[in-house]
Amino acid sequence: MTEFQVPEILNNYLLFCNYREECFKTKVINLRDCKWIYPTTLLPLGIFIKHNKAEFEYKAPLDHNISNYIALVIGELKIEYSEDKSYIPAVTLPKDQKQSGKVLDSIFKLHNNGEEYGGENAFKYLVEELVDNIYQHSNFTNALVMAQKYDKKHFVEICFFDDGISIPGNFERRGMKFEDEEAIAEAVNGLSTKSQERGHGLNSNLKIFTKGLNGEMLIVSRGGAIFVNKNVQKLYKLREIYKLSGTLISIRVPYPTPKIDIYQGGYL
Amino acid sequence: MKSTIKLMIKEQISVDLALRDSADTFFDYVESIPQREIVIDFNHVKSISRSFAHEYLTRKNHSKKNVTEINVPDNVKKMFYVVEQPAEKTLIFDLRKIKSITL
Repeated sequence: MTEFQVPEILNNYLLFCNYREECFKTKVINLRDCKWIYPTTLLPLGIFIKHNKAEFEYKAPLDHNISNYIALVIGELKIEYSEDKSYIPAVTLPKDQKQSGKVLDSIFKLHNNGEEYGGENAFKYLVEELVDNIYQHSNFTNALVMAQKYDKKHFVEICFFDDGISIPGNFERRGMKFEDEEAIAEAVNGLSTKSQERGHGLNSNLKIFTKGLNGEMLIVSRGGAIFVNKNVQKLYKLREIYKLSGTLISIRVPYPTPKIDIYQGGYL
Repeated sequence: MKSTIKLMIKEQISVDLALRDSADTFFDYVESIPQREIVIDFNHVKSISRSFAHEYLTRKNHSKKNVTEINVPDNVKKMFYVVEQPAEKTLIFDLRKIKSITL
């Protein structure tokens, strides 16, 4: 386990890296003792297992709920949503974005249109902009969206993960060279690879979900990471063992969160 | 042939207007139909992303067709306004001041 003093949400990402590192050493993906897993760990871990299951031995968690949870993400188990389940399936984005309408619709329905996550406008703005970014920029093979609410812990975690070219990789493709963590910061500041008129999606969502809804946002992409909440902005340069093939965006907001008017208050 | 045609955008796309490319595809269709006067009916639309709104307005402004909108919900009107009158982006990370931490 890492000993760095980092925000919990970042620690949950590092937990994935630790599982991965252990697997590279032992040739076993060993999740036997895993009793709890947040989407921030689960989404990259699930895709890692999916990619590497043929090569490494996979020891599923003994806890049946957790092993089902992972099976859902790696596509080995299909469970329809039901009100009495404590977990909700991660949603896979289709490669063909023309097929994405039904997927977005299912995300919205699963979460009651975000009524308790800052309201319909805020939730849909987040999901629509970040999913559009994935289609516009990432060139992914696998992309997942997942939101999980924790009633007793009073927060919801909303995660987007793709295994595409990453934010630094996208800038590089357009001849824009930055350190990886600076590339993420530039994207968050609104720098676009396409035009000055674009690049508002991350910038505005970050304001809505940190300043407006008192939440926090973690973005990990290739060799960099950023963490932002109402009071803190942190940039992280990641050593090799913590690098990610792709981009993970993870947002935690208090739950339930009252509705916010995204058109007022300078968020957009 | 009537000179005007009305298109229900929710039937062409969805009640949630999310992706930039779907605005593009929609306008490809608009450009392909023979009528010059096009009325886009936004009835029952629930949401619009900024990316969709930006692409919609960009394509509309470059179109040779006369495109107008009816039954535009308040949130859609507000998003069009945001795109037409964009605020400055907020500097979240001042890279001259913030140093990175190595993990």
